[in-house]
Amino acid sequence: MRLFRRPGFITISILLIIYLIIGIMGQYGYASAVLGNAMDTMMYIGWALALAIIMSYAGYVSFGHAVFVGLGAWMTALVVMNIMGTQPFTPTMFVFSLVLAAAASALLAFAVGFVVLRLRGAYFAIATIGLDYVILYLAVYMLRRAGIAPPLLFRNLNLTIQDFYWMHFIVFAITVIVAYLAKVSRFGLGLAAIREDEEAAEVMGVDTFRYKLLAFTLSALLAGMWGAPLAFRQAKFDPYDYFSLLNSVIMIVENTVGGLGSFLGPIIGSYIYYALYWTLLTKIAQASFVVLGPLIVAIIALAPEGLVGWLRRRFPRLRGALE
Amino acid sequence: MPDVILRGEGIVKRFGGLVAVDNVSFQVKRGEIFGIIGPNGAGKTTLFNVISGVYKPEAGRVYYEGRDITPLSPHERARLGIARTHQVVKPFSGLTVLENIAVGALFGTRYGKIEVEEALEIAREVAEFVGLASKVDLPASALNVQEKKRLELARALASEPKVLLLDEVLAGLTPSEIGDMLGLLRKVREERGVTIVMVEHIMHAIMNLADRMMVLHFGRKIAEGTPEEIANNPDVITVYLGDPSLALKFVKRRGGA
Amino acid sequence: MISLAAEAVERGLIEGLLYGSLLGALSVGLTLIWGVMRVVNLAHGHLIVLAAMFLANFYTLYRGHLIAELFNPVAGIVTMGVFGAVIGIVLYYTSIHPIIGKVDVITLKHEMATLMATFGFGLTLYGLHYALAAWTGEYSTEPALSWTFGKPPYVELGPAVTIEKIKFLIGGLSLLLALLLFAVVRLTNLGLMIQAVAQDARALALVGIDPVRIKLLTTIIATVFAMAVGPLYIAWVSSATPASESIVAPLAFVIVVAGGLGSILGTYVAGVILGLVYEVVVSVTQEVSIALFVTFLILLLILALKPQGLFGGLDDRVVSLIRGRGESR
Repeated sequence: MRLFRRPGFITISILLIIYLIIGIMGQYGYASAVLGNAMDTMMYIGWALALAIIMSYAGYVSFGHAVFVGLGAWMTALVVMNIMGTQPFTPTMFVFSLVLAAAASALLAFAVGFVVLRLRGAYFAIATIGLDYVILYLAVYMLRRAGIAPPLLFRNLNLTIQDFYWMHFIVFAITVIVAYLAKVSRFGLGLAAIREDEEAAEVMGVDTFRYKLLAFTLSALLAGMWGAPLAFRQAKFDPYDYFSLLNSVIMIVENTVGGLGSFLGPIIGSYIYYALYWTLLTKIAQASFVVLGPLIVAIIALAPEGLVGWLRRRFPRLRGALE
Repeated sequence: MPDVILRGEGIVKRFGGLVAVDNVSFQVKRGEIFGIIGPNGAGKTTLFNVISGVYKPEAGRVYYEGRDITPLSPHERARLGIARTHQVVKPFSGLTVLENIAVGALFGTRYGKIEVEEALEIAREVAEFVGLASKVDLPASALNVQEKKRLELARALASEPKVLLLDEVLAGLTPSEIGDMLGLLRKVREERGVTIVMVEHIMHAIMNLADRMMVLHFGRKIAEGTPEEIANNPDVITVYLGDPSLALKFVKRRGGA
Repeated sequence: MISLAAEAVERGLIEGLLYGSLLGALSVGLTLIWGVMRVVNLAHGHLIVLAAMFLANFYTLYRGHLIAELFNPVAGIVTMGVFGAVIGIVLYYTSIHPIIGKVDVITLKHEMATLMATFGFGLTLYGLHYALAAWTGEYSTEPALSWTFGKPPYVELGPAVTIEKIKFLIGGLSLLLALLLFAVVRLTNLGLMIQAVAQDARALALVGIDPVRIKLLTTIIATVFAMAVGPLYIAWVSSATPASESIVAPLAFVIVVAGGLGSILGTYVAGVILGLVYEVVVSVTQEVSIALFVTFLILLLILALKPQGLFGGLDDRVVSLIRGRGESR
């Protein structure tokens, strides 16, 4: 099937068009009420897809993935406060932040991945938690050494909510397209083989180590990029918040609920998570885990491939459509 | 010798104190069906793991088409044309039959030369060859034992190998299913020119099919030759076959189906 | 600022020993369930925090009445231990049994599945605090425990080396708990059966012992030894929130990996060593962030160089469990 006729391509097009329309309306002052929600959902989907490359596609659950988001935000803070510390905001500042965030995350993932991707599932998961905390406390120390008690508040850049929206949209578009291309390529099929049976994949000609390293690096790069819009919008670098295990948990929940092995899964999972979080926000948001927790246990026990995965298995005819 | 496609020299594989493969040497000629038999624990699967690169031997070398492949990783060997199936099948359960076979096509000897589209086409073709055409869109987990064995074979064939290592591909099959599989294997050799190395327990099948064989016992090779020679070999009989005249009867059935 | 004053180091060493003892006790339950049952219990930290939060809440709630003493940090060990037995049963039947209850050989897929299931269970516990706070006006998600030990509550071991007596109490009780678990696992019949199930569940079934019962009991014991330490934890840190899990759990995992999976003694000793390193670094650099940075760097280094832990042996089976290559029999 040609790329443009595939269901996943349709999904991407719909998503991008909808968020583009919201953005354009926002430019003219309409729909300002939903701009915040739209940015939130774009970020949550972006996070989910970034993690998906290593988790849902390759089967390696990174429990510390927030480290890359935090690192990206850290790089952004460096750009805003140090490297371009006296300049007014220009798109160049944003692009530069993105590039630095992506590069730093990719480098870290590559270096660490070389070591930790040789470890089995559970040990890999724990190693990623360790990585998250190492970088977190490094960041905290660096801030304190510079005389700043975290969080580091950004200087005033005179940015509007529309500016933040387009930042989110750009990273969203990149994430969605890259994740999809990764999934439907030879690379994606190789990752799927690794997920299902790594030893069999190796014996069949998949260079498992190289593919895992590539997946981890790419996954980190995408997550890292999200640090930039996050930092700009919050106008601060807050290591305790950005590097938080909770952010990693959110990414994992989105992937688990939505499901492994499909492009649509993490996207659906993100919307489910956000819907739950949003409806319970009026009470106490964290109580949502009283619902999400058992949901995850149920999914693992009954339908480990997640919601979309279960649908694809139960209704083989829908399998192509729910790519 | 140009027509020796696979050669092992003095292979030794140890696990702690246990010597699983003890100084085994062998030669497989291009286009032949080479059988490996021996009691359980004789080291047959371990030897396969050494040949396919999953284990590194403590001593000895493996040669493929004259080239020393001992330092190569499993995936490199697969791309050179060595494919294998497993004793306990390892399907990619969450993927469809078609996708399973496509992995073989994409990452075997054609790696880098074809794209996903073409791989899926090839996969369809191979599925037809092994008789799984009607099941291509089912998840691999939905297949029964015999179908999973065919899938394992199809996946290996899709990589367009020159040597096919089959690890007890007949285990768990009913007599009629065994007959089907034997026919399929002959087709593989005849129509695709693939050299087959088979580890097998089912005597009548392997005696019937193989051109030459090797017998392993406690990790050591105790005999190598044609099935007739093996059946008449006193060491083999003592260790393994029990009743010599029975073995001869199986051999006499060769030339039939 | 590096303060190499002898007193600072001395204080660091003593506090480190005591803190390390607590850390060791916090981790032994995890090493049991992970090392022996192959269940990476991501609910472990949440269980500790559950006990800590409940203890603090109830103690504060019943302050002034006799019943409050059930929830002081010492009696609380027993109270929360009993509570732990109940939670352990729930944990087993919701998150473990459906996946590995009837399974003889635990594969990587099983390991990851129980990891994720216990993760979900832990998340539920996390959300429970907030749900309770929302539904009852009285449950606090940031309780503090004000309980003092000794008059005066500190002891002076020298000039500028003043340590609260309660820390000695906590260190001592932690050691006792670790020894108790060690005794149960190594010296009792139950303990032998628990170890046997890890080796070969089928063989055990053949001699008439129900592996499911053993797995259930192992889970209960591990949960008890997580929750029983919760009171000691909050006694040390004085206040906790549900987010405290993200501090406690990673430390426990570092300690278990460092000490060697399944080894209670190794884990406890690793905890003590970690506590020492931590407190000494804090005393010398006056920066908690550096101490924590060093802690998790150690974790990464151990995973990179010697994943079987400082006290783990280098046998094939252990290596394959960590690296998962074909080199296993």
